[in-house]
Amino acid sequence: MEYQHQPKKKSLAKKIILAIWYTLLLFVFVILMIKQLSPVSKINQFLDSVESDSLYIRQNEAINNHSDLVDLTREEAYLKALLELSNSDSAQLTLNLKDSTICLYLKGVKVHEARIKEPEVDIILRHLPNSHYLWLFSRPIPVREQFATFEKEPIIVKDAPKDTIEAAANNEIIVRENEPAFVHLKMAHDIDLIIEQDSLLDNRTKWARYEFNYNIIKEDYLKTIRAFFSSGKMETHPVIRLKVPTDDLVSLYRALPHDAEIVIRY
Amino acid sequence: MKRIIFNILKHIAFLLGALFIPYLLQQTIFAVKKAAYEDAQATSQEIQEKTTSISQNIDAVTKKLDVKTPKAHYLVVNSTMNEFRLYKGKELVRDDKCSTGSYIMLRKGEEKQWVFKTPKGEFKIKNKITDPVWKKPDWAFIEEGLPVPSANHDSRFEYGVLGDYALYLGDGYMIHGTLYQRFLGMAVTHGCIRLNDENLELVYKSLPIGSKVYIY
Repeated sequence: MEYQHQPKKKSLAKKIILAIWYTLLLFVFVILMIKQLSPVSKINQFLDSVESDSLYIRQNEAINNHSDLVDLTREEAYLKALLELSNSDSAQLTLNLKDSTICLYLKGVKVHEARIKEPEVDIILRHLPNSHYLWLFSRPIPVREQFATFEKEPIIVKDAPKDTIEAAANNEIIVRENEPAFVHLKMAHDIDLIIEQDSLLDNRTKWARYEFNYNIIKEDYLKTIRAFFSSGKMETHPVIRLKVPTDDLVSLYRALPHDAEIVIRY
Repeated sequence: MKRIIFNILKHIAFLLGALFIPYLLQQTIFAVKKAAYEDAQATSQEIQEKTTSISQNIDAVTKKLDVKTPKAHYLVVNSTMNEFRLYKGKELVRDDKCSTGSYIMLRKGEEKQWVFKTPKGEFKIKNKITDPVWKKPDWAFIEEGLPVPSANHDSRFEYGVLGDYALYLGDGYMIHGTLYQRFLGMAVTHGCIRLNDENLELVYKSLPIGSKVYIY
């Protein structure tokens, strides 16, 4: 009897494990499918937004989509956005992938310029029809959230010394260590700008880069899974990714106000 | 064993399919959508006219943007890297190290605190003087562990510590010299901008009252 029961038990356990395994596999399959197809829904969302903007539709001419005019119309859009940006009282950012520069402007004056390396523009943004590109990038884009692997204001708190002896003892100059520099700016229209330092000198920086990217991917997938179970709206973030020399990146990020705006040209 | 490997490969292929099939679909949809929009028909004359019109707009906006940059001398200070650049119009006249705010927050009990940072934004030279005298504020005494004297007590006035010149930016912030030239390039000040003697003289002579200073 025992001999007959044993394989039955095993086979049931095996079936349960297989059922769990295939459910998991199917779940991963569905999530991957959703992730892969989400850019299509995002581009549709952009198209809908543009088409519901009746004023823009009236002003925009179909000829702007002609391939001979794409470059020129984009340059015009960039400069107009730059002019609008100059009305801001604080420092603001411009990203021009055409001439590979990222600049900081203060009241219309260029105060900092850095060369960018290895720019990558997301498939959604690359496939945007020109009329829709112009709708998105003819104005500065507000930054909704800012994250970085270093502090915006590196404040060190010191308590006042009780007497001159204590003051003399604590009078050393604080030399700040260079921290790994990776910046994530979440902009309006769900566009993400990810800026990395251009060199990975030590293991600490490599680890910081891994952690930084891992957190972005994790957050992205968790949002997809949450939306999947709650039947909510899937969020897709078109990404522009680039590298900038470390000192420039730290200078640019620390100069950006909390209500930053960015002008983009690609 | 072979069966296990085959099953693993089968599952990997299944997941790769989840990436690849939608990718193909995605690419096709994008291509169709882009083609639908970029099918604008226009004669060469229409394109020429449009090109001329856009070029004129670009010129007009470029001129408006150019006006924003001062034609005279102005100073740009990078408070993160502790560097300054002196420009005349778009021409760089001098760039070198400076010192800016240390970002130290000095706390005196619960009631008083000061943050030593250089303000950011667009400023104007409000006043400039030679042989400036530093009137030490309360924090200068507290930082040294000394009792705070009365407002105009003799011990508040220090001579020669700010260098030969000082340019005032408002709210007590200045561009001045320093006795501690070895600290140039470091964030060590209480918010003022320190330059070496030679740079200070050049900046003093180049920037009249009303000149712009951009700090970021």
